[in-house]
Amino acid sequence: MGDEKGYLALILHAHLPYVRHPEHPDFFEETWLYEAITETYIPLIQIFRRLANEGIKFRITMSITPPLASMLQDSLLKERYLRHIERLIELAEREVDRTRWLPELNENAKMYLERFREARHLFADEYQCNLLAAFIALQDRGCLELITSCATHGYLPLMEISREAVNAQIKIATDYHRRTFHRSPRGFWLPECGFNPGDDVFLKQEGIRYFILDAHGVLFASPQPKYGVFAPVYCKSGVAAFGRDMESSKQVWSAKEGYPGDHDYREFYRDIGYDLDYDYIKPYIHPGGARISTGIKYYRITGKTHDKQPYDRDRALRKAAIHAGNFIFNRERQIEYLASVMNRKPIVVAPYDAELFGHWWFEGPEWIDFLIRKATYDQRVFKLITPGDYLNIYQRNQVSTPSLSSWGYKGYSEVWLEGSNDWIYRHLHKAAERMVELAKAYPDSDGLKRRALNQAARELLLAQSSDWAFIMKTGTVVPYAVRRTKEHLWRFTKLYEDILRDSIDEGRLQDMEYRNNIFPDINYMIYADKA
Amino acid sequence: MPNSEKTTEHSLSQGTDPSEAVEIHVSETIPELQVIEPRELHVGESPVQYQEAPGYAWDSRYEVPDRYESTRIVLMVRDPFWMHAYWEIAEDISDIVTTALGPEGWLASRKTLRVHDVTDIKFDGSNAHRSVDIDIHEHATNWYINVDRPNRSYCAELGLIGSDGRFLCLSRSNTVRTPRAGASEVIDEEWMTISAIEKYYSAPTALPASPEMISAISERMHLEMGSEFVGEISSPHMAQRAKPRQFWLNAFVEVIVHGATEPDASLIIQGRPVRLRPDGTFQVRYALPDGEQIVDIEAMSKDGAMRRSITTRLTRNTW
Repeated sequence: MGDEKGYLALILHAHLPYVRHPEHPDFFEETWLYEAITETYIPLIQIFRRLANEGIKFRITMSITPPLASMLQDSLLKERYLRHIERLIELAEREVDRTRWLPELNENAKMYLERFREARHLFADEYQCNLLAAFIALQDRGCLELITSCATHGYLPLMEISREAVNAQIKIATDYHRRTFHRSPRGFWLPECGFNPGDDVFLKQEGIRYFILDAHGVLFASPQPKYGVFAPVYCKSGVAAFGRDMESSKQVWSAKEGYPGDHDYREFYRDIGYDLDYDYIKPYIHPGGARISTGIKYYRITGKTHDKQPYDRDRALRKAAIHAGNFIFNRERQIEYLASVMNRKPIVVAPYDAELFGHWWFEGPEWIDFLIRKATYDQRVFKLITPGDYLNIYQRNQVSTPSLSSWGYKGYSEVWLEGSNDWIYRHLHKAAERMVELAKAYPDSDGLKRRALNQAARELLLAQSSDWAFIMKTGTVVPYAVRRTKEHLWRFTKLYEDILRDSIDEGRLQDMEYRNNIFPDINYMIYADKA
Repeated sequence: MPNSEKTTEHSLSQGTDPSEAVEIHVSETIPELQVIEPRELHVGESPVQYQEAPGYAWDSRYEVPDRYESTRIVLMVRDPFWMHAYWEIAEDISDIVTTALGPEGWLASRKTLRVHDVTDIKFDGSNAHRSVDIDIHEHATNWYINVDRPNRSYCAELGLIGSDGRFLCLSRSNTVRTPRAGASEVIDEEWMTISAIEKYYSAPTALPASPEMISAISERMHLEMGSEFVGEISSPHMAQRAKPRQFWLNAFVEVIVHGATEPDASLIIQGRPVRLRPDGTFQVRYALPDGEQIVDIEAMSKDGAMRRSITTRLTRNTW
């Protein structure tokens, strides 16, 4: 411990649902991954690497969920990303020509061309298409603490009826994390911060030392936490719960007051995929012909007007620096105050979706860059830390049982349990029950039966992703989410019936394995664990 | 100039020495004018109309089953004041109903959810702190249940109330605990260090019994802080757009410069190299602002010995 008064823990939660369609040459929903690679993961890697190379010491916590890590390791998706970025480079080249007589747009077109070329170079040449290697290197250099999340981002509070299913979501994830990142995760990102008292016992079994909750999950813990969210509490199992700080959260998240809405920042919604002549843009949008975002956006937010002004990169970066300074100033005051009323050094926990940075908030990665630099050089009040580091400093903590909670709208489970999506649970619960039944009825099977049992576990896990219920609720690509839920359930049920009848259709099984290949090393016997 | 009509006029002239153009075929129609059709730019409904990927057509065999032929009710917690129950009544339960309620049992009885407060007790079917009956529609298979007291344990029974008022339980649910709606009233502090964990870990983990405390859900939940924004961000990358505005019109002008030269020649337009197609044709597209623009097109043979160039002047006036 130095002479700092407290700590700031910046936590980036990187997650995308498992979307991979080998059966189709050009699948729209796969572009979620490609966009996130170009706009978020690569910019973050570039920034962290540069900071580390300059000898700046910093600590950031990052959860990389198993579905995301699996996609980043998948050879088909790697190939497709290359094709995607090459197409984007081609479009950006055409844009540099097209905007030749519009100097303000032309500057931006050149910026995109350069970014895309750099992204391609970093992805293909520097990391041989394996971005996980970049994150592992940053972990090994002491910059990142990588943590995991549920196997397929299942939302645990609504899985409570099957303790075995909760156990499997946690155990499969931690096993996968150890194999992928060569270290045991100290922390666990509960999907949507969804916590049900008692789930900590499963985390404990996997050697997890902490998880993150929304503020009220800790504030409403019992007994009342003495330090609120500014120190962790131990569940009775001994796993620590850290609570989200509302103040720092609001500065970044809030639609009205948050930084990302600043008029100088890039406007997310004005994309040339919508703006340009149809025939010209057609090769670069949805294969079915629908206009979608390309990632090339020339305007800044400007204000509440449809008459958007061209994006001015320098001006936007100056603003990102100002906002980083403002964030630090506020943390300094907050931490000074907290330190004066607490008899220990407070920790301010600031978790965000990683994809906010770069994808939605274009200047977000640079904001993090400025934040780390300014925190290192311009102030002495606080240090960047990870929750795991904090637990090493303060091993004695208050014991308190956190409250059931999530960070979704209204703070509980309503987002994932309402009119649009409540129909899924009877099927998910039934499938989980059947999976446990299978594991107990056919322990340690081999050959075809083992393959079928393992694939049944994969289909169940994929059906459980919280993303589908979320999409059904938010109404973006509802048919896709409904379809994914039903298809995984259908495949699960077919396998269940086949296994019981002892007549496994190998052709169909092979097709399922080809489509849904997540967790190649899965062992279905996890569902027979005493939970 | 919103809502005002725009007219665009283009005057084009092809300059430079005509004799230079002999060896290059340049289509007479160049530069070609394309007045971009007005269309929605940042208005309208959700921009992404869901499109089926070709070859990924919905197959109705994937439908989930209507029933699993087991009588069962499951309770889930939505928030401190709401729970959700879903259930199924299997066909084979008819006999039980007939035995219990007589041949007219189904018709003469009302389907009912009986919700029990079973906080900190081992429920035996009759020792609940409180029980509430909810009449449910004959064909309903799920229900949202409002409970006035948070931080309590509940279970629900699905059953029939016969004409004589007797309750026939068909299935009893799991027990769930709703969360607190405010800070805990328990303020006794308890501390531990990592080394002390194992003791707690093996200790019985019954939740502490807590007296009632109904306080408003914290301000944050009423504030619905940043909900729209948060919702968008944590969704997969999908644009949601602004509300429609008033009647509107946009018009832009782009020109296409196209032509052909020897397939192995190199071509420079406006100082930038342009890739030729295998047959030697090329096409470049420019957004044309108001004013005058000069287009320099220069081709050079592979051996560098031959050069041809064409210069075009474009003028656009919008008013």
